[in-house]
Amino acid sequence: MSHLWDRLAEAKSRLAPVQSKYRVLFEDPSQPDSPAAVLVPDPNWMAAALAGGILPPIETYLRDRDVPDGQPKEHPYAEPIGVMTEEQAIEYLIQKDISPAVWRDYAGNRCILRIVPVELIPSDRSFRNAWRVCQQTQTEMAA
Amino acid sequence: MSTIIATTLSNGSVSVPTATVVNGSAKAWCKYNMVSSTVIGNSYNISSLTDNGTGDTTHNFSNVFSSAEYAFTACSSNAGSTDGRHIFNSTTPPAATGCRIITVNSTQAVQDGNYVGTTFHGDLA
Repeated sequence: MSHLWDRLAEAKSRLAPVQSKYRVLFEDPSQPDSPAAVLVPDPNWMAAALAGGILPPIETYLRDRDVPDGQPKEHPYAEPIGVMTEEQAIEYLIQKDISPAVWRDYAGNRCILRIVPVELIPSDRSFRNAWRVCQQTQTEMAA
Repeated sequence: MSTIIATTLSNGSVSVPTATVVNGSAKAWCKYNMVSSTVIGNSYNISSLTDNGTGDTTHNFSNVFSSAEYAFTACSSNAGSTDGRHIFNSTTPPAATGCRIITVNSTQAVQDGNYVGTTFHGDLA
């Protein structure tokens, strides 16, 4: 099995980038004073996710979290998974790039993670460091 | 995908070990804009960016580094102003899985960058 880095290089040479129509808005419960963060999927990564046959199973990344630095990791050599939808790719990315404290372990009542269309992210960043996840389900802005 | 196994690359007059090419290549890079929203223009080996706040962005790697012992360089510009941007590692130390950096203006206040470019060099997992 080729290395993930090589597969990413090959994918970048043949796949057109895909700008996701979603963003993931989240708050870190361990840093209650920090503003809401926005996860922005990479267009080349999204193209690879939608094409299939390039990215490793998400479980390999989760297991690699427990592997100390300098020790061999599983995900670069894992058998690639198949085609994902954009929604599945976003769920994959949440597990990969956001702390489990946000998407798995949080037990509070407050909504701290939302997958939203990109147009619901405010374009005016004047008060960026005051953004919080909107608690209303029907809203014109997510933050 | 095909594989060429070679220890040296040459154009007939100049030679370079393939190890030099592989080890010296940037293992990840990203060009992005932060002004109206975080938009990734182009990249390699980046799965996502996390916009943590004004001028504060985490790069998440697709293929992680073997450890946090990697080097990175970055630059940033500002739109419509001579007030250039400087870029630093944030107080969060780099990790094998990602690197958090901040952009600041000439008064050392965090501020969004218009054209931010980053490259990361090191050993991959």
